[in-house]
Amino acid sequence: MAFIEVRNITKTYKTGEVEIKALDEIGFGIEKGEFVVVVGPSGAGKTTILNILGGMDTATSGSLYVDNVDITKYNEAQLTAYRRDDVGFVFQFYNLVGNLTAIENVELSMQISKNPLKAADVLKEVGLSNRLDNFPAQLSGGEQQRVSIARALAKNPKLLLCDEPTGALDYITGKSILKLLQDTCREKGMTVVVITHNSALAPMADKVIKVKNGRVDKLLLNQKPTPVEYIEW
Amino acid sequence: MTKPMKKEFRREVKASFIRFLSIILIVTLGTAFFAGIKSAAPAMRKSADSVYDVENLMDICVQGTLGVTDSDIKEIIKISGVSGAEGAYNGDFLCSSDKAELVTSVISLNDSINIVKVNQGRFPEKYDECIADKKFLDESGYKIGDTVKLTTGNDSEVSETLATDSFTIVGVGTSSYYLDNERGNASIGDGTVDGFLVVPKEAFSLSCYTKIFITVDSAMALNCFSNKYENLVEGVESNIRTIAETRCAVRFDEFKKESVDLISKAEDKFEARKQTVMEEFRKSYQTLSDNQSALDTAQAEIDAKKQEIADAQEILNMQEMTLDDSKKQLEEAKVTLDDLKIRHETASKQLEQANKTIEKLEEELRVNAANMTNDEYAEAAFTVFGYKATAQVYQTQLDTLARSIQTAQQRINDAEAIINGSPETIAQARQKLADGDKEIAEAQKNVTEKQNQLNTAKEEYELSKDEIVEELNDAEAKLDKYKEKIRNTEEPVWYVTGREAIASYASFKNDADGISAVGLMFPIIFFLVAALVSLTTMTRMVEEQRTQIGTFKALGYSKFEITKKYFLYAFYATLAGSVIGVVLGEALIPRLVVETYKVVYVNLNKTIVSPNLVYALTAIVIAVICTTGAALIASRKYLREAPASLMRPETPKVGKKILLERIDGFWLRLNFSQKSALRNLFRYKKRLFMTVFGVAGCMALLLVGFGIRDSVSSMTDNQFNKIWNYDGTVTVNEALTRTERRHLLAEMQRTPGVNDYLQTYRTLSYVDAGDKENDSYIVVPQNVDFLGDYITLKSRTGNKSYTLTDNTVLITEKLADLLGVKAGDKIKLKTEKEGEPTVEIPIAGIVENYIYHYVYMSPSTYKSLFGEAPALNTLLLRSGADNNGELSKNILKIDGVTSVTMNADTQQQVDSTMDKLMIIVALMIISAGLLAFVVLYNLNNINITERSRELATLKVLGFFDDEVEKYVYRENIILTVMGGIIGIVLGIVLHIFVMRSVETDTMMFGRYISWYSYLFSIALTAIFAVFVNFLMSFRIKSIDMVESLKSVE
Repeated sequence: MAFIEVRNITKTYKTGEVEIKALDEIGFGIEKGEFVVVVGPSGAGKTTILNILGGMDTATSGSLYVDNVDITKYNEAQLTAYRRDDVGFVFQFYNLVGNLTAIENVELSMQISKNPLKAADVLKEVGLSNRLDNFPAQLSGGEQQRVSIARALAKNPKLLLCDEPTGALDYITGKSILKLLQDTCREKGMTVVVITHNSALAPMADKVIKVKNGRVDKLLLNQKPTPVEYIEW
Repeated sequence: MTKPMKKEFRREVKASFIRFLSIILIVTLGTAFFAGIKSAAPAMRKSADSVYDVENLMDICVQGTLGVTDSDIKEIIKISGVSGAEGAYNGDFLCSSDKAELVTSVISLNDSINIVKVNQGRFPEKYDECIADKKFLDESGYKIGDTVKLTTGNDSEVSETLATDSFTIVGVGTSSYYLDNERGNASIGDGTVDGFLVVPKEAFSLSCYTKIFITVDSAMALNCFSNKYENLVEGVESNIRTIAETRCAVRFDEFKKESVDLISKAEDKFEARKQTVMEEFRKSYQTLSDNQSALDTAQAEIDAKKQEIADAQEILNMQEMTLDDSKKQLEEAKVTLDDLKIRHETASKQLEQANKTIEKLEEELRVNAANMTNDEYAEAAFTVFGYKATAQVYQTQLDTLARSIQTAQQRINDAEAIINGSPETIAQARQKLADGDKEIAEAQKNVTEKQNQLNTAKEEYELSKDEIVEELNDAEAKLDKYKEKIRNTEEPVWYVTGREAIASYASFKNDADGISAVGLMFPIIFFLVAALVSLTTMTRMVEEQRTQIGTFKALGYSKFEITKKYFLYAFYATLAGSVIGVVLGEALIPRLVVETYKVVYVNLNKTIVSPNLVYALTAIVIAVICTTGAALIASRKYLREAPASLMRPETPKVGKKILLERIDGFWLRLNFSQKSALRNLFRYKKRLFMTVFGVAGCMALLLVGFGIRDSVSSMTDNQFNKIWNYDGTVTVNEALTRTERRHLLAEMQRTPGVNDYLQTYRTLSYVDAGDKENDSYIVVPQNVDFLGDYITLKSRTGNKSYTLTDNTVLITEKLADLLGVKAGDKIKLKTEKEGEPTVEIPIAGIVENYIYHYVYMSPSTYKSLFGEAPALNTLLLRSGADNNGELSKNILKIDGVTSVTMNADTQQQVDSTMDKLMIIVALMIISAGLLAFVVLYNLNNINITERSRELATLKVLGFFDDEVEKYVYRENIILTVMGGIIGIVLGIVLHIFVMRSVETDTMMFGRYISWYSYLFSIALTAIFAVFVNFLMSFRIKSIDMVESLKSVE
């Protein structure tokens, strides 16, 4: 069994009389240390996949195994524990707490994790060793996203989930963030799932899951992923 | 507005209806409180005024010490400003029922002024019918149809005042003169009037009125609690005072003329009484002596009869003795007879023997004669002769004996006849005697009984003689006293008083002022909160619609048009809210307040709540200005920015290092949420300010609410238990002679329950401190050393104790406050008594006191100021009695005592009046709760809405719900604590302000808040805060994590 195993997951939203199937019997596996890109147009079900993978939402049917445990059977509290211990989130809009400095934002997640890394070290790794005491508003978008990544990494998760990590960034900065994510995956063996609408990013992944209308359209494996530096879009 | 904008506006209202509603609600609450509480005091005043107007309550009352007359009324009516005047009678009596002995005020039924309302039954038609007070009926148990009997309770007689002493109750009535259940004081019974009876004027037998009730022109149109009214009435009062002296002189002349008549009448009455008594006395003496002589005759008869019987007895005894003698003689005679008979027998035998012998001898002789010699013959013949002589002797003897026997027999027969006849006679005589004895015994018994009765009658007579003598002596003494009194009567004075002399009017006025004071401050707090909350809400709304504003701007809409939306949004919500609030508030709150006060003012039978346009419009205008102003301010900020920048997400506010971070060790120790909480406090200053303000307001309201209770109860406790160490005040006729006074004091000492007392002189005086003046009592103890045992003389704050020193005075705190004087200053004193000089004296110290004002001075100071030693008119009493009623009754019986007031009764009375303040306390606690709730709920709501993204992120990061809540609450807790602390300070200040506003000129409340009031206030504030936070926890739980993924708007 794969490290992460998605089996026949269906997610149905009900809006009054209308039923919308966001995910329709979807299924795939992710190996440990893989860099996965989930790609697809708006409304394809990318975010729903992210929500379910991240334990923020539950599936209507089907099961999700993470490290051989069925997450779909979890209750609210177990899901929260799953989020705090196993998942690191990187948001499109960084979602830093404006009132805390960079290092404090990292500490924010460390405070609740079982096996955290040192905040200063992680920030150094993401290249912000000289901006530790700055507030989010004093940082550029890329820097904020680095803090966000550091915050996710600091708690030493099993899985790093990134929702359009470059969505709010300019090209160059976006690229450097992707590089950081790829490096993290390669160097630390972190399982990284990046969700994006930008199919140009597909070549950098070990595995590309193309989603369309709530189904897995295509599942590609790159034997030789392209380093980010060589990808242009 | 363009059509799409109008549509957009309508949809905006619809979509954000909750927000729209929340502004409406907050404004409703604020304006309701503002307009409502402000209208409460006017409603109270108007309600009472209307009750007064219906019954045409007097505006002015004139009382004369010698009564007032019809000609006084005529003169008063002539005075400008007087619209009506009516004479009235009143008097206090005792009335007993099965349930209690009640002090009853009997008042005359008036035609036009102080009309009494009959609620049940009818008006009296005859002079011995009356209307009873409901309170009187409740306490006595009498009902309509019953007859009540009145007594005076002192040595005067009912007939001096009333034409009859029994009245039939024909109706139940109320009078606006007595709005509450207090009926005033009396100088009889236990000193407290329990109820009143209204009787026709004919029922009074007084020669002149006791009071004149006066109404003032166009005073009825004014509210009697207004300054206008007071000024108007005061003007007329002083007009009346100008004729007072003349009228009093006239009355005095009249009285002097009357007094001659009065005295002779009294004398005649006494003489008549004396005559009657003497006549009765004489008659009963006559009867007694008649009876005695009859009895004496009867006794004499009995004695005669007794004598007769004794005589008869004597004779009888003698007869019996004779009988016994006869019997004895008879026996003797019988013995003699027997003896005689024996002798007779013997003699007979001897005779027979002799005869036989003779015969034989003669025979022998005859036979032998032949044979015999002569001698022998002669001898034989002689022997026969001898024998014959002897026989002759025997025969004579025998005859004598026979005669003796015959005589003896005769005697015996006689004796036997006597003896046989007497016993019957004697028995008869005995029977007769016994009968006579019985008769006499009965007669004697009868006489003795009668004598005993007569003796008792005599004793009674002796006793009644003493009593009658005593009565006559008393009557004579009374007559002398009366004459003395009439001769000594001084020129009368008039007391001209307004409605403020009516106890229930004064206390009602006081209560309305209290509510007014509350209305001064608290509605403003509410208003401010409402304004601030809507400001926050509008700001939030404008912030949320930043992009939209940018878009409209980009489309070319003018600033004015864009602003209009927010302006109108606020305007409509506020207009709706304030109109609802004003209507509800003015309709409900004054009604509630008046209705609540009706519990105390039971005869306040009207609730007049009229819309107060001024307060209503003020509330609406201020509310609208505040919220629309807030909307304008909030939107102006964005209108200045370029449309492009508006369409970009707002640059987040820069986090700032705060001062606390400079403290090295401290900051490092904190975890992120503590740090964030602290920084947030300083970041969202508006919210900080408002939360703190709201919580502080809540805390302050609670503290003031509880503090009012504390201060009031501490006031009575301090005054009655700590300052006044005596138990009662006995007022004494000032004009008593030295002997009378000595007698009175001795009687006091003898009264059970009286421990000891202090003689004092008390007089009302006007205290003048240059620019301000006030009424106050001058109190002069007879002995300065003992004053401290009765009244604690110390300062309130410094606990400094004072004693009276010569040529200075001590004055009470509130008086000093009102006059604006301090120790060392001089005050001028002018007593009530005419002719006494105005004097000036320095103040030695200010002493703690809460009720009335006092100027204490030593007797020598008094003497040096006023030239004469202080008289005695007041005794301060210390008692050990359990039953105050009994004690006062006993003391009131003492000659020369005019009234008794027990402190415990007064305290109870004051306490019960103060209970009314609890209405205010309740009002404050409810307000505080609402305030806390509105403010905290609103701010928390905004807080959570604003930070929903941050909270969602925390949830995504794996924070449990309670951790997220703690993150939010930490700020709330800090703010609540800050608010609480500020609230305590605010509360203390406000409390002093409120106490000052509530207290009257004659009363000072404590400035004291007890520690448990602090505790309660803190606890309640905490509970309100916790409750709101509890509600908020649901909102936090419902935050969707997907929120965190959305872009920043």
